[in-house]
Amino acid sequence: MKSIIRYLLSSFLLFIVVTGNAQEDNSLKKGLRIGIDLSPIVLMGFDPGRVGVAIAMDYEFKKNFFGVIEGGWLDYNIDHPDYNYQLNGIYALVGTDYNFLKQESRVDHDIFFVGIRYGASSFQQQTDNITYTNYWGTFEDTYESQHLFGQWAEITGGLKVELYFAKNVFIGWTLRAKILISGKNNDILQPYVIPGYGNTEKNLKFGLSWFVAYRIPFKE
Amino acid sequence: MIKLFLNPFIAFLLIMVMVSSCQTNSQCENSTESLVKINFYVMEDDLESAVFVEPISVYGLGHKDSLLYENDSISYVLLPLMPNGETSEFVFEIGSYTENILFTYKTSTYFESKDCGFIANYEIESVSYSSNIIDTVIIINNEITVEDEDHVKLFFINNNLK
Repeated sequence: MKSIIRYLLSSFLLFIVVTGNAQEDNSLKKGLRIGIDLSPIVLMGFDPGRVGVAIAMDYEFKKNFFGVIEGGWLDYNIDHPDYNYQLNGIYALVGTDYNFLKQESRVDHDIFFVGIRYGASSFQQQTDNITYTNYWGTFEDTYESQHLFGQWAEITGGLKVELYFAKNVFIGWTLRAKILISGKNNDILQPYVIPGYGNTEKNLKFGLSWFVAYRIPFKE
Repeated sequence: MIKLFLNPFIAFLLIMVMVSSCQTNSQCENSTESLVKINFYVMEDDLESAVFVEPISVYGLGHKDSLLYENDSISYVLLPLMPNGETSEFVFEIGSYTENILFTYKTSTYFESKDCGFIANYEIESVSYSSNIIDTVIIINNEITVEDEDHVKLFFINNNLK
């Protein structure tokens, strides 16, 4: 899994170098945009056991087309009287966004986009201290640590707006339709969440992320 | 222009969507134990007919002090199985008769939800029983889950019930 991420990252960076040197439309500045997703922080407010980080990078490699890489990790702990559940892992998404907002002026960098993503996660889960209590008494159980892999696809849409008072700083939101491909079915124990995808109860679901991003401008 | 209109309005809408999609079901539903449902019947003129049995007491073998049913008049019982065990045996006391019923099964557990935690389901492999007042026991559904379903038909010997 880690080698896949490294391969994608290096081909992405290579792509940037290649297109940076090509003859491009000079009306808008080029830059690599790096953002941090604020929704894990909000989700942590609802569920303190859920700690995570999500970042996104995108680059306009062709007019109105953005190459996107996202990634992050998740550390999920449920501390319940009858069981302790632990899950942690990393994930990455690659994809493309298409902007269909016409530039109103030559320096207007706002985009309203739709896009697609492929996502994958490498994670592990375990449960211990499971207790069942019924008429017959109290019984204990444990699930050993399992190393798992999940994949999904996303269709995205969203808005990224450059702050008028802070050049190169963007805020925005992304609405995602996620389709789970694999990672849920498991003879031993179905994972409760897959990092990057979320709760595995449904194979099709919606998610929302909002973020703050900074665009590192490249020299013309 | 467009961006000023879109951004705060849609951001607000989407925050609403997001908050509502964060369902915090902190209540676990009541029926979170898988129980075996045994319905009582007699054969009357070759027809299966449901019966109420009275007085009937039921307890798990070795747990006589903890009765599941005490001198009841009932047409069915719901019995808990021992999680992670392979057999569970019950004692039925009906009037002056005593019967033993033993279930052999496999346990499988799954994660129901964050609040309910883990639940054990069972797959019954066989049942054995004494026959003082029981005619026959038939398993019609061997998958025991938290759903309310019929699992076992217990036929009493008609004459002995009276």
